[in-house]
Amino acid sequence: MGRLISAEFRKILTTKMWWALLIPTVALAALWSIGGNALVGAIVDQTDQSEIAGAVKANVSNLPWSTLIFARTVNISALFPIVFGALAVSSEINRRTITTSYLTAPNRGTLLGAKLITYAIWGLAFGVVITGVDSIGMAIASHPEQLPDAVSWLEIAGTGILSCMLWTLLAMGIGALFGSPIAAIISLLLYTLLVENLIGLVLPDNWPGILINGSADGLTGSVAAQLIVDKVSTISPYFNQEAQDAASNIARTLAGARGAFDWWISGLIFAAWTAAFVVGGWFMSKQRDIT
Amino acid sequence: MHDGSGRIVVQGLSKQFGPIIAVNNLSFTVEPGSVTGFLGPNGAGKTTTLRMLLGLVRPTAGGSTINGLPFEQLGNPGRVVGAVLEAQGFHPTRTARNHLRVYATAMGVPDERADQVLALVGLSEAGHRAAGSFSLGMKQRLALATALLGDPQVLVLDEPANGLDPEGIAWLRAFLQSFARTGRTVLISSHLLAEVEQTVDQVVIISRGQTVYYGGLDYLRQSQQSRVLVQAADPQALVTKLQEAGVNAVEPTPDGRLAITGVDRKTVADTAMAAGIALYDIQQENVDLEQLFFRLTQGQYAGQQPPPGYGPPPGGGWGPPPGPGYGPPSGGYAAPTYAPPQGYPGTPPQGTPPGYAPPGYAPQGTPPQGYAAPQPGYAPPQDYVPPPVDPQQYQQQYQPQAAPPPEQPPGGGWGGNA
Repeated sequence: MGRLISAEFRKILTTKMWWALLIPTVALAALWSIGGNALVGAIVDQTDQSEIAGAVKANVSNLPWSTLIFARTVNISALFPIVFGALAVSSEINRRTITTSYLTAPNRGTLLGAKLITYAIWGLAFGVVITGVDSIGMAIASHPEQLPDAVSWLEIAGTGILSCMLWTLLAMGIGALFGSPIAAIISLLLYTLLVENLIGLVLPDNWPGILINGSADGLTGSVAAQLIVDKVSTISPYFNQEAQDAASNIARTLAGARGAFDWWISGLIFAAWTAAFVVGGWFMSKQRDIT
Repeated sequence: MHDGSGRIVVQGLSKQFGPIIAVNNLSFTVEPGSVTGFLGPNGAGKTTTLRMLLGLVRPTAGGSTINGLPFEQLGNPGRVVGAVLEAQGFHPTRTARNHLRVYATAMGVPDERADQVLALVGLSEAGHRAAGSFSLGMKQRLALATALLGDPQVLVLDEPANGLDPEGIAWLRAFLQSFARTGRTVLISSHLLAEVEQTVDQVVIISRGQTVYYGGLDYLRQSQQSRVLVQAADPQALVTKLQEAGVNAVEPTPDGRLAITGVDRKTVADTAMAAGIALYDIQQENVDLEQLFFRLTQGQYAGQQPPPGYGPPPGGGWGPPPGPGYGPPSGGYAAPTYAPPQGYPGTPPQGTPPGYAPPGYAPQGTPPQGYAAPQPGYAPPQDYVPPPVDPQQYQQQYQPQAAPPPEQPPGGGWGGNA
């Protein structure tokens, strides 16, 4: 297994795909985090001076709004680790290198296990880069009073990294399931960016939160939303439980995770989706004839 | 662990792709120390069989072992079997050396081995180049280098000569023979017998997914026979004289000539001369291996019925190897009798079945198509012994009743072309 993991790392590092995907990842994360935080800062400044804020006696500008943008940035930047993972198996099938890979591995299961570990590590690496760029962008563009504290930042960065890793593995499973890079990438992007949003619109309450993208967004978005809701109760004495729930839902929607469950439930749901696709891909790979 | 024997055993292997039966109950054994040719026309199921052997395609029925174990139980298969399956399988932007290093890592051999095999196949200079920029021949060499990375005991090659230049083919032949001489196993597929004739000791010939011949190439060579075609002033008298001389394999041809099997031209001419019979025309024709191969496999697309114009010989007396039982072990073979089409050389082909053309037919002494320069220093296997495993079933059917001496010694195809 160790040999095969080393071989997988060599496969990745001897081609350009990893940095060809890493560059746009950094660019996209920087763009979203800087642009988003600047926008939110401007909106909050407007709201703060409005009459509603004064009526509820809330100092809106002191909330950690930047975490919402942080979560959204992670979710959109995960696009690239998704592509990276989707190519893990499907590209080998497409380029026919899978033949030699199978011929030099004890069996197909071992090779896929080695790939799973390798791509989990790479998914984590992508997550670290994304959350790193995201944090820097946030620090640059956000109002200082809207930044999260250190513990909150660790929480949200941790879920962001976990989300990227799971996305990479889920995409790898889909790539192995379909056996075609184009089919895997197109269907993943189409589904996460379009189809699930349409489905989510017609689903009531918490239902969007059990879908693939919904649970993934919930993993990061719910943490961010919770940080804001927790803060709200400290700044406004009129905030009862009912109002907190309502605010929480609004905050999750703002974080791009409408209807999501708490972060750990979302995480478990998303991990289950990942496991389902990995098992599906593993099963298909066992069956597939390499002709 | 595997038994280290180097033996490949294919047992009752079948594969069905949807409605298409690609391989049908195929069985054969490949012994170490020899080069075994795996022959059949395009679409006969060669590639599918090799891929099943290597665990890449799941058989519908049957199984195969290498060193006594199925492929997926070999442990570190790259150290036991090397395979050249196609001249693709390379990432276009990964360099040849990096490609080899990836798989060296996977099978646990040191990186230096990558440079060794690059040198071995003559690609040292091109090691830093991306595999996508390689020519087909260079890709074949790189595929071979990959197969040799783990210093395997068994080599399986699927049409490895594709894209190789004549020099490369000659090199490959010499390499495979020296590889086999060290007691290791080589199984090499081809759709051209001539391409591997000088390389292989044994052949497995398949057609339409079934084995039609399995055994030593020597037995096939022995069944090569020549016949003499004469146009005599008094054919009947010549037949009588020949019979008196003990030559009984005589039959009239449709164009009024006599076809005499088992003797050379000189004997016939001398007999005629002694009897005072004028001969207007005399010619000797040879059935070479390629033709025999062609006959064995020509049923591929002909369906169940013998093609028109391709029937049993008129007299039934001509034709090695004789007798019923010639042909594949199972039914469904289109042409169970060894018979030339009517109008066999000399006359325009009449009613030639579709696809039947004698591309491999060549006068004696002419090298077969695809023949390449011989490798200096090549010595034919001197004492080839047929494997002990039960090929008799096929071989006996092929042995002519009165076995004529082979036209050439085994491997002698090199001799006339040096």
